[in-house]
Amino acid sequence: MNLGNFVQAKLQDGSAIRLLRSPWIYRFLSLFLRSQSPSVRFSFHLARDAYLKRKPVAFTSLFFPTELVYALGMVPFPLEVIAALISSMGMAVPFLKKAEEEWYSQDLCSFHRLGMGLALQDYLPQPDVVLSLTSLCDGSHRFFYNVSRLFKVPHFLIEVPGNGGKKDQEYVVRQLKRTRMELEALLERKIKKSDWEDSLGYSNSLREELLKIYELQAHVPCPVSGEAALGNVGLIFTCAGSRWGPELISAWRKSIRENASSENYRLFWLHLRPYYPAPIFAFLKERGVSIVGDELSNYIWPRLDPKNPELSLSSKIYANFGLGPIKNRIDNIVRLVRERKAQGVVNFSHRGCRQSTGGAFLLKEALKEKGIPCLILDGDCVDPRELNWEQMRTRIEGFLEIL
Amino acid sequence: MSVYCGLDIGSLQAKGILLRDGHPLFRTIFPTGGNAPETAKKLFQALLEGGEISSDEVKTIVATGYGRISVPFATKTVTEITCHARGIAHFLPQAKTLIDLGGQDSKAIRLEKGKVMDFVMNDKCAAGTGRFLEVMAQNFKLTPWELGELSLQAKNEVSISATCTVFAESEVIGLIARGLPREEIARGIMSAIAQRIAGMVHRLGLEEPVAMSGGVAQNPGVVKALERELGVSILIPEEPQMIGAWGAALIAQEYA
Repeated sequence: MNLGNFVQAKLQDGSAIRLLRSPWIYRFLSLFLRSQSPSVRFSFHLARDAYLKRKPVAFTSLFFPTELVYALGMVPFPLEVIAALISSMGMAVPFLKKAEEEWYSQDLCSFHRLGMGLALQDYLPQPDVVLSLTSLCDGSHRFFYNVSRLFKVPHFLIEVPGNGGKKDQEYVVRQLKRTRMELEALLERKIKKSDWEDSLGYSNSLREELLKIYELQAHVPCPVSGEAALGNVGLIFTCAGSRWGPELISAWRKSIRENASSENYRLFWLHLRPYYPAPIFAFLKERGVSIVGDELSNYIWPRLDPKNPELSLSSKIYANFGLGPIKNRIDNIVRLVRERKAQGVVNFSHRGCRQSTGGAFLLKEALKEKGIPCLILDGDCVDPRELNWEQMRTRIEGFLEIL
Repeated sequence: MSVYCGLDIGSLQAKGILLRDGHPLFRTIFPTGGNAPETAKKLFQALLEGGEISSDEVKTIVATGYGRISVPFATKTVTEITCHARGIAHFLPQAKTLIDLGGQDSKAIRLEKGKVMDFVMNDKCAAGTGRFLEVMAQNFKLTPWELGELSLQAKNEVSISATCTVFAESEVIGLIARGLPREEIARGIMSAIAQRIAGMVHRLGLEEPVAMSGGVAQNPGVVKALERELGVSILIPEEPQMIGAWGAALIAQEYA
């Protein structure tokens, strides 16, 4: 029995709301759990702990350091990742429509629109807190604030200014400490030294596993599926700090067959991918295109030190090369393109994402100067109604013909 | 002697050409209609009949245009971006920027020695395409070509602010109803198209000489408006609507 298919069927017939909150369904599904992949088992535990309220629940934004959440004994519920998951099941449109009926404009990021649709349709568990960063996404913290109002729970916002200079880091560390203390008071649970050691230790092991994947991505031909790497972005950010983190990435690495078939093109991917069923990756595969890396699954942070947890987490936040002047992003992209021996770059410009589309032209110009061809592919990661496949195919084919 | 075939199955028109020894043997245009595979088959048959040859004599067939995947008998498919570039390099090798205005999309292409260096396509919206022009012309009960001619008679222009085809149509209907000079409204329509295309050209960086291909390049009003907007003269090949098919046939010849 395929657990994913079962969950999808229940989401489609509308009975999922009840089922998601039923202890019996988790007991039943657990019978089939052993044979499932680590990512399915992780998702199962996350859903069970959140919907049955086995642990306090924190709604988190994508870049929020989940190590703090796990250290506090909470379960993170990453709304943007959940939106991508729902979209991948082909279930995005009813939730997007619900949000649009409630005045959430189609110009807003569809990850947040879908998240709001899920909240309005009562598909989300009741959170205890909402945790978000101002990091990168301008719409994100407003969306999370709105969610916290809807569920009548506190919203903790970490403001991430500048590009990680000493004063910026000190400011973020102070906020992380204050947030940690307030959460400890709210949950009546102090983080012990061993909690930090576990959480940051798992995150460090996850980091080591990711570095091994990056090594494989540099191989010619590239054995790592770019579609899978982009699909794992949400998992990487959600399981950091959990015992699942290293296990998940290790299982991914072991599933990679090192003898890859030959490749015609090597491309580096920027931003995210369409998560709904779309022919794009099958088409790229048919043309012999390897996606040898992407911006977000290549987000790597310095080793975290349990003796200085907040400073470590601040360094992790600032390891995001999308922060600060666009030069940071360009320099890192050029470095990765060279390391991975990529012939060109595809920038998937997600509609509604101001931080990504806003810099697209500067990025294209800078890459052109370095002799790296760049295709700006306008589209939407979550909303399938925005896909014009014929146009997209012509753009991709035209770009490959240039290469 | 071998014959090479280029088929450009566009959204509105299907164009085909046979080349023998680098010279056109026969060429023709069909409306694409609702069944692109059937149209492609009929177009190919018409080319064979017109060229008085059998299909065995055709060594290579290259299909391009939006319907390129609907040509199962094609040896190879190539995008219209590359085919228009190859076609224009044959007729106007000096061109560095190519504007291709087709039925349902528009493209600006940067060329270097006939090779595509970069390109920009319209996105999401039909404004600035042949279809936009058709919809606007219908409001005047004119053909797109006649609308273009009408716009050339205007000394001033009425500004069309909407860029969406549907909203622009209601704006134009309103302007006609208010009794504003028809030629000035027509010129406003041409300028609206030109502004959108110029935006794409500037994104690539305008480099002269500029050439134009695609069916809309036959419209004198659009060409004039684009020249005004870009501040350059635009080179138009003799049969701009055939450039994609020419390019496909030339690529077929090189591929063989």
